[in-house]
Amino acid sequence: MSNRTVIPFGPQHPVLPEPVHLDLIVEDEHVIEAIPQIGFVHRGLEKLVEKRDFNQFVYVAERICGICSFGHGWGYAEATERMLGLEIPKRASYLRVILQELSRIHSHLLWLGLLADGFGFESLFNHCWRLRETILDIFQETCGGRIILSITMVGGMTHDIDDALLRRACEKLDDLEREYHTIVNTMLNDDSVRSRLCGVGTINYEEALSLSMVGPFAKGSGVTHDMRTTGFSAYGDLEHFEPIVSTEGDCYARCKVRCEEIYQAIAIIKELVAKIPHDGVGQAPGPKVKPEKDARAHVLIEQPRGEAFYYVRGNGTKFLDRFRLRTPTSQNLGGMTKALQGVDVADVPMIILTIDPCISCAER
Amino acid sequence: MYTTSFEELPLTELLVRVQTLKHEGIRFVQLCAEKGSDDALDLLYTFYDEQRDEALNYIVPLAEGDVVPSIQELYFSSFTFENETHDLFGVPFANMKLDFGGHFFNVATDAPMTILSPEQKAARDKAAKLEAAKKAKAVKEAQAAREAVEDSSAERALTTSAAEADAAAVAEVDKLAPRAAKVDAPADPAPAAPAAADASPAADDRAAKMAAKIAAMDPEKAARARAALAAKGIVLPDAADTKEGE
Repeated sequence: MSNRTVIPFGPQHPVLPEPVHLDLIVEDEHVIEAIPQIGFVHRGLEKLVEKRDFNQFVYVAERICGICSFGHGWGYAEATERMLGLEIPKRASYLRVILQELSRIHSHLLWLGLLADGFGFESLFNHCWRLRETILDIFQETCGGRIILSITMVGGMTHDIDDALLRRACEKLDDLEREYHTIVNTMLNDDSVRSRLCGVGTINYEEALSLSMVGPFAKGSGVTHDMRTTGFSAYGDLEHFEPIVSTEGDCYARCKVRCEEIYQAIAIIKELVAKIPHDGVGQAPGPKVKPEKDARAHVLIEQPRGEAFYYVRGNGTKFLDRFRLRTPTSQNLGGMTKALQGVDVADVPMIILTIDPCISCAER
Repeated sequence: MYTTSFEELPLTELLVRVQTLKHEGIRFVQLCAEKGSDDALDLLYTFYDEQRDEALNYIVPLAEGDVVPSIQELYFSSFTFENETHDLFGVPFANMKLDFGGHFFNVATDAPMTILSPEQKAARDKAAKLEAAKKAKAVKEAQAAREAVEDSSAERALTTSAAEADAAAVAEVDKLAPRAAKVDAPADPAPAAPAAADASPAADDRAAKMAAKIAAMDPEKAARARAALAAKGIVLPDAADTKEGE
């Protein structure tokens, strides 16, 4: 007769880069149920919006997370611009999308390295993180910072990135693509990788829809939802955009989606750099510009981990009443508990890694 | 580009509307609380209709004491947001499928996000102080009652503590002059006084040193030490005399 045991997993665990705790209810090495818990790094950043004026808060938003840093600043700025009714120049929109896609490459390479490290593929981990340095170098050359870029502001961008720098970034991306091709072939075709990822932690299409999953986690189960298809910002100027999906629903499918999204991001950057307009990068709103009382707006953008929701509400002063960020991880926690049901205890780290949770974002 | 709409929805109609949205295959995006009218709270539910590319926002005003029905049965992923709203804003939810009981976010203050203005913060601080004072008063009263009950035993406890203090003093004296104590205190305690009188010159010297050390002590402690030695039959010379003799 088998007994049920509760195994505490995390918040500090060798394969977990983030402080998430799980109570794994196991029976004979099989997980019957997984109950997640967060709350170890809550910083009250949403509350801080009441103490920083709406221009300053961009820099706070950027510090919500170290991986999707640029996206958070962009999402907040875009929501505030919508609330204030500000139009930004096309060039600023293009630059934002280019930097967001570079962030996607950097995030996916970081994740790929962590996954390789998770199953003991140390050399692959090192190669992925070496390639990621190329993106950080591009950030440093174009924005000045490697992680926190501080180039976004409400009303546009703090400074322009000239065309020569953008072209040089594209050349670096060509080199990166060549090297990445070798790495991704190893990652997706290696038997040891397949044996750890194929058929593990499967979520089917219906479950993904009913659990409102987002990002590569949902796309791995065949869900085509991607906010970039709505054509917001400069995404609307792309010749063609089709979200990358896979129908298997297992860890391997999620891995494949992320690997291919890197190629897609490189293609988007090259296309936008080739046709970037020259109409300025906008300017900060004047000191008299204040959101109206009870003015509210929200935006949904596609972060590397999936759709993120940014909501702002004004109160007639330069301070806001409310800033709300719903991160992809918060939305995917339900899917994670489902994916962990019925799996072997040894597969739990792999499944969590392929979901790529970011608890810093989720807790804010 | 997607469109956005905001609509006010009474709390009583929330579940019915969410059921309809679920039936239509509309995706749940998020739930959060925010400041409503008269410092009450509003809940903001967001859904996304992928067929029409439309974000649907429902603002649900809350009144004091309202309990919000959980939508986890329909959209399980809302468990994160319902627990978060409960922990940060103190909004109660009914029939939650996964309820962390206020421990989803381990924050130091209950409902920290509900402080919306300096006036509210001052009121909350004042209430916290009153609560703390009330608790302190209750503790003090309970202690006084306990002391009244244990009044007789308290005296006994005091006697015991005095005896303990004497024993400590004796131990200290023994530590200061163990040899003197050994020499001065023979195996048979009865003839202790004559033995002290017949002490050798070396023992006298040690006793004089010990007397000097006792004289350097706190007067109360010194008196206890002298009393303890006297009980053992050891009489020390007066420290002042010792100095003169030297």
